[in-house]
Formats: sequence, C-alpha cells, structure tokens
Amino acid sequence: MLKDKENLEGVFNKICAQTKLLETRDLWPDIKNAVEKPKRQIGFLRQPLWSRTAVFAGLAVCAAVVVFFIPGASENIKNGIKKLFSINYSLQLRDSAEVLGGLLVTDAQAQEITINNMLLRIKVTSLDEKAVRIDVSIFKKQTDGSLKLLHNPAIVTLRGSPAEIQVSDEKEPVYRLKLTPREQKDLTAYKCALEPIKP
Amino acid sequence: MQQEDIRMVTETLKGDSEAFKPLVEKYQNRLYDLALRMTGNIHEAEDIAQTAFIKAYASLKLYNTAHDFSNWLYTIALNITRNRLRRLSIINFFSLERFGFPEGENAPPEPVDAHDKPEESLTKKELLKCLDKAVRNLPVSLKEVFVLFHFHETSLNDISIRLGISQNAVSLRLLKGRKLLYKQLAPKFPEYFKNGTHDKKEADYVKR
Repeated sequence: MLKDKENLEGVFNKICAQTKLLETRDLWPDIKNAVEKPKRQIGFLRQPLWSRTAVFAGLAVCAAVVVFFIPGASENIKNGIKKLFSINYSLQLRDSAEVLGGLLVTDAQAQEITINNMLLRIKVTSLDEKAVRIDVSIFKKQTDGSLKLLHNPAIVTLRGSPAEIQVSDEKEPVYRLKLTPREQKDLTAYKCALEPIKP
Repeated sequence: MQQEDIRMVTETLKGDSEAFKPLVEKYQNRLYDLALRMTGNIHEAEDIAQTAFIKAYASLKLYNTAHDFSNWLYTIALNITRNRLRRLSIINFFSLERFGFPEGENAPPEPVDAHDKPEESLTKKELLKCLDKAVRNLPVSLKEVFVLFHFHETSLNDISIRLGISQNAVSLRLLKGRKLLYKQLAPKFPEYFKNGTHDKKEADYVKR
C-alpha cells in the first residue's frame, strides 16, 4: 500500500511538476472598487446590512405598537379596508327640538341614531362602483324597553346623488329623510336631513 | 513571507485599502488557478477569486495573525468554490452541454508546461489536458486535495489546515484521487505511468 502510494505520488508529481499556475487578469481594480464602495456611502447606509435590517424591523414594530395603542385605531384600519360612508344628519320629531349629528357608516354595517323614543338604524351598502343601497329601519321604544319596528324603507341611489326616503310612524308618513351618500371620510361631505312633513 | 503578509494586513486594517493590493497581486493567480481547476469555468473562477478577496477584506478583523494568511485566504476561496460547485451541479444538470453542445468560451485554456520540448509537447499537452479534465470530474473532496497538493505544491499540514481535516484524511483522499486518475489516464498514456504500473498492487487495482 505504501509503495502504491509512493509510486503514484511520484508519477503525478512528475506530471504536474513545473506546470504553471493559470493566470488571471488583474483583479485589483474590481476588488478596490468593491471594497471602497461602502466607504463612499454616508450615514445610515454605512451601517452593515444586518444593522439596517434590524433598524427597519424595529421601526416597523414600533409603528405597529403605536397605531394599535391609539383608541379606535385598529377599528379605523379595519374600516379603512372596507368602504366608509359618513353622514351629517338632522333629525326632528314633531315638536321636539332638532337633533344634529354626524354618523360614520361602514359599508354594510348598521349605525343607529336615537332620538326620544325613536331609533333609526341606517345601513349603507355599496352595490358597485356607482350604486349604493340605503336601508333605514325605524323602531319605536316600547314602555317595557323593547323595540317595535315601524317602518323599513330602502332605496338604491347613485353616489353623490341626493336620495329621499319617506319615513312613517305607526299611522302616516311623518318624516322625509334626505341624504346624499358619498364615499368620503369627511363628515361634512355628506348631507342627510330628516325633515318633518307638515300636514 | 508570512511577516510581509501580516504587515500588509495590519496596514489595511489601519484604513489604507491600497495596502491590500500587494496581497491581491500575490495570491490572485493561485486562487484563480484553484477555482479554475475546481470548476473548469474561467468566468466562475475569476468571480470566485474576486469574491474571496472581497470577503477576506471585509472580515480582515477576524483574521488571527498567529496563523498563515495564505491558509486563511485559501479556506475562504475553497468555501466559496464548494458553494459554487453545488450551484453549478444543479445548473449543469439542465445545461446544453449534457445534450452534446460544445463547452464554448467558458472552457479553461490549454494547459501550459514550463518545460515544453517540441518532441514531447504534443503528448504532454494531451496528457495535461486529459489530467485537467479528469481532475475536474473527481468528487469535490478528492479534487481539492489533489489540486492543492500537486498543482499548488501545498504541504499535507497546510492542506489539513485549509480544509479543516486531519493529515491522515488528506493522505487518504490524495491516495483515492490519484488512484481514480491513474485508472483513467494510465491506459491512454502508459509511458507516463510505467513506473506506477511496476507495482503489482497498482496493476491489479487498474485491472479492477
């Protein structure tokens, strides 16, 4: 085995002896370019890649923590994903004082307005890019605290076009609900008024 | 030699990137030769050598001056080469060469013999060409020890340091590599291997 080894080693030593190393072009210019590049970078870019990645990851976590600690922020993020409608409303029931308010309505989710013993549940549903369906449910609060559905009108209208809904109490139409749905988050961009119908 | 390398490294670490230039000039052909003999692709070899220097420069702070700089540099180059070979083996599986297309411009140049004599040159050139090809076809673990020992004239001790294996393991790999090469080359070039075939065991091995 030893002889085996020595013989073969000698043979290959002889074959490979004085075989020149294969030569390459001068690599220094490219290497110099590569090693000096980081020096030319300034500030944050000079930091190593892992450090920059860590900073970005840290900032992202901080941003997420800050956002989720703002009351209602996570809800707003969810709402932002859906289409959001907002309505300025004015509601007046017979002789009682006019009630003014603003209402944010998330697409296909009902929002409620209470005035005296009446409850209006308004739901705005986006049908397509242009059309919107508005459902209004009018409830009357009973003495035992339960709600009685008086009327459940619905209308399909275009975004930005005024719509009008007749609202009746138990006997006759008493209100006219006017609203112009727009898909904007600015409350003032929406107009909605519930006007008493004078006999 | 080692002292000079360490001086250059120290200068580079002080912020003088130009001090790295002599180190590149000194080792670029060795790393290129190693990578070319391992991969058989001139562009890949150039890229490996370049990447090895850039990696060495970037991690120069980690270099322990108690050890040989060339061993450290070779270890970096060998690691890069092994990774490239792993990638190339996947690429080659789908390459056109498998379907009989020529190697093209990426093929290594003709081997050069310093003692070229007209009467011998043709056979010797042919032998070196076949040897290069046979070495490239060896398994990576055998190929690296063979190239380091026979082409780069590296000692067993240095090879064991560069590869992180024992000297015994280096010897065994060398023996295995040589036998595989012998088996391929001896029938084509008997005049170069006549000394080797005198041994009965080797002759038996070749027959097997």
